Amino acid sequence: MAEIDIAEDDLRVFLEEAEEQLSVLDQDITRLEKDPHNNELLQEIFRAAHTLKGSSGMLGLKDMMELTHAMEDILDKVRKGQLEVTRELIDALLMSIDGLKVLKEDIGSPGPSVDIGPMVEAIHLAARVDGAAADKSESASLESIVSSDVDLVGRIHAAEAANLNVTRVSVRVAADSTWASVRLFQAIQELGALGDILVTSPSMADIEQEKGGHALEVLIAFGEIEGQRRVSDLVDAVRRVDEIEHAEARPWSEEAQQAVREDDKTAAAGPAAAAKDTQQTLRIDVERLDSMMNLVGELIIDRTRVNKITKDLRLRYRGDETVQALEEIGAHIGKMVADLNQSMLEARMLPVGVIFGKFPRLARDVARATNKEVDFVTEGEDTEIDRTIIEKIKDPLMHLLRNAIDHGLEPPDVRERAGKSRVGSVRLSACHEQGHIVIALEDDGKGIDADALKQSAVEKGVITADAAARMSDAEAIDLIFQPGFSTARQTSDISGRGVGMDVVRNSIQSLNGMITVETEVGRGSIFKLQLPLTMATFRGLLVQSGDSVYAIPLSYVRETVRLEPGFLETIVDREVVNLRGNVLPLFRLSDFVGRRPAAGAPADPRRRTEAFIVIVRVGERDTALAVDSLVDQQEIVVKSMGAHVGRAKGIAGASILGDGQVALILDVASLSKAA
Amino acid sequence: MIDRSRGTQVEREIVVFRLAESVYGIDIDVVREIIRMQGITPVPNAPDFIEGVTNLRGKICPVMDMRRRFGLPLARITADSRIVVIEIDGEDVGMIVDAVEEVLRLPGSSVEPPPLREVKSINTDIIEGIANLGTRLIVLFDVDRILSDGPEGELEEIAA
Repeated sequence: MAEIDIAEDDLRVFLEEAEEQLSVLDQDITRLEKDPHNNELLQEIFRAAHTLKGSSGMLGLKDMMELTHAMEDILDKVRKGQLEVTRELIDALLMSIDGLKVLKEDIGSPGPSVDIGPMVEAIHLAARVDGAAADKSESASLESIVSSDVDLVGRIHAAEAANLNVTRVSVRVAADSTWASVRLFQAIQELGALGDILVTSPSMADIEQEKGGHALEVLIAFGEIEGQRRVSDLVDAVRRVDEIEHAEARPWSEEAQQAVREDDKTAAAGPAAAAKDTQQTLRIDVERLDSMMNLVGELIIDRTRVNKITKDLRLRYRGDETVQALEEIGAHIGKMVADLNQSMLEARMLPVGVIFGKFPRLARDVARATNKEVDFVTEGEDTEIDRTIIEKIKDPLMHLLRNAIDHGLEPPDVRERAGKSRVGSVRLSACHEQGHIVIALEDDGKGIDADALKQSAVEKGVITADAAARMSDAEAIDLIFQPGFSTARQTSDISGRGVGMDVVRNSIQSLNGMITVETEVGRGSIFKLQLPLTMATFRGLLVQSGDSVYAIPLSYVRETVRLEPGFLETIVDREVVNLRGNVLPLFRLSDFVGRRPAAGAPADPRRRTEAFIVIVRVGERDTALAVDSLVDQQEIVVKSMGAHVGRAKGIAGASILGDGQVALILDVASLSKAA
Repeated sequence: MIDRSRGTQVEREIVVFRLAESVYGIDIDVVREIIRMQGITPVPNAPDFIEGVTNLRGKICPVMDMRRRFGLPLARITADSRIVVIEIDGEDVGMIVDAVEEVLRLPGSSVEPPPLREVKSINTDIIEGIANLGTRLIVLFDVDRILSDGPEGELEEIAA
């Protein structure tokens, strides 16, 4: 794209809005394939393309304007019923969206960008496929007829006022029918007997003169006057006519009418519409939110200190009025800080739908590329989660989705032979569960075969044949999370690009989350991600080991117990704890910490100083962590350790305590695995 | 940022510090502050030359032991030891040095290109040049490289 002379501010606004329009278009066009007669959806798509055409035109972005113009033309034909939604059309539109995305990225870069020729060509081709139909029927959409006929609007309102159901009936005659007009006429007759026909498109006159084509839309008012007709009766009546290929009835809702009225106004009312939006939402730089979050974090630390100091003062100056006043104010400040923290957390929350929206398109693309048939469903898009977490789970979820379709689902023929439906189903859902958010990706494919996994692992040298023989099925399934492990004979381009399940698990764990797999051979698999609601703070247990203090998220802690020598046992040279009959693996924090002895102090394994154990539960597994002492329970503010220290194993982050000391936050999940 | 062309004529200001027997210098632009030694919390499983992290006015700052980083023999901390906090890729990192000597204006003509062979076991990729001031030599190094290209490429692993 040639260099352009645009004011920086204008460009920024355009880019932000274009980003949104393209995102809407992407999702809606993918939806359109499954719901091709949804007029509201069509209107939304048309509007987005129309707006994009206008704004790119205003900035002189010729290629973008030309491409969106081609899209708009064909979309107009679709919404007028002159063109059917076909796979080729959806492909052409999606390809154009991708082209627009590239054009948008290249704005301002010297040299040519992507060539829009092939995309425009594809769009025209998709239009010509239905060329025959396009030529014959010049019928306008019901919306445009209604919007231009005041009398008609009046009659519609009158019908609604009389409690009648105003319904739109869409009819299509078989393409190879030679009596199309006759059939349409018969359909109208059938409907006329059931209610009051308000308008038809094409008009009765056109049909009688055989100018009707193969499609018909009828607006009919029916209801109690005719004796409790149901909408399905209308469809049944139409289907009684021969050679009717498709009949559908939908309420002519107030929304649809709104869409009609808005349609012509939106292009001109761009700024007005935008203004209305700004009253309800506000764009804010994520960095500003983050720095506010930081300040709140500092407040929390200070609040904890004030609490401690106040307690000391209370003990020292019992009954002193000034101290009492200080206590009251301290309590009030504490409450304000807690509320402020809560508000900040909520401000950072986004509905998961923000990333779920991109997945239907991805599912479609992967399914096409692997020749699978998929029905992809999402649930719980409203579930809210911290925005930093959302960012980080996007890639893992995409990888899981690719895997589910590429490796999980069988090809349609195989499925059919196995007695399953040809179309595989994949479901992505999110919900809240006791202070966590659970995101699940479920497929009804072939499941994970533990034995095949074991064999593959032995072949790859990941485990020995002996270990494989002793391994339980559950442990075998866990193998998929080992680095460099893939059962696909050739890593397909789709899911094999250097992103492995091990990276997925690391990402989830770095968010203090967990990933589990449930699977049944032949029936499918469920991958469940359990994530905390926020990364910024948590209630933690502070423990001491040697000179350092460590923080353990309370969500993992089951109980704390004084360590009696009698609890300790050794099984096959590993230390365990026998607590009330339960045998748990033991992990000594001092072992973990004392990697580098301080200058002059030899590490002496016989001088054990641990006096307490903290029982933590990760997934199904309990582990006993041995520490020197328990320090406190408090709100822990998570501080970033910076990219350079990176993810030191076993450490999930750091925090600054009230007295300025640094406490490391333990990555309980990986520690319990090491035990 | 740093003009690597040979025989640069640009004058620059450097912070000079001492490590073992040698004297080193880095551009003052990257130095955020210099503080006395304070409590450093060791981080298990971090790369060997990372001594740990410290509380820098409310922010967690990783601290490197420069003797370890350069493969020099270890020594005890003294009253002269300092933590030089520098900014790399937008983040603060501390370097433990034996002593900070001064801030110096270097005439561009005094900087010679780095030698082809190793200088005291420091990887020459990190070294940007040698400032020859007649009475002494100051080894100039590029802080951006301090954290990339670890001797065994450990950092790529950790960053993953």
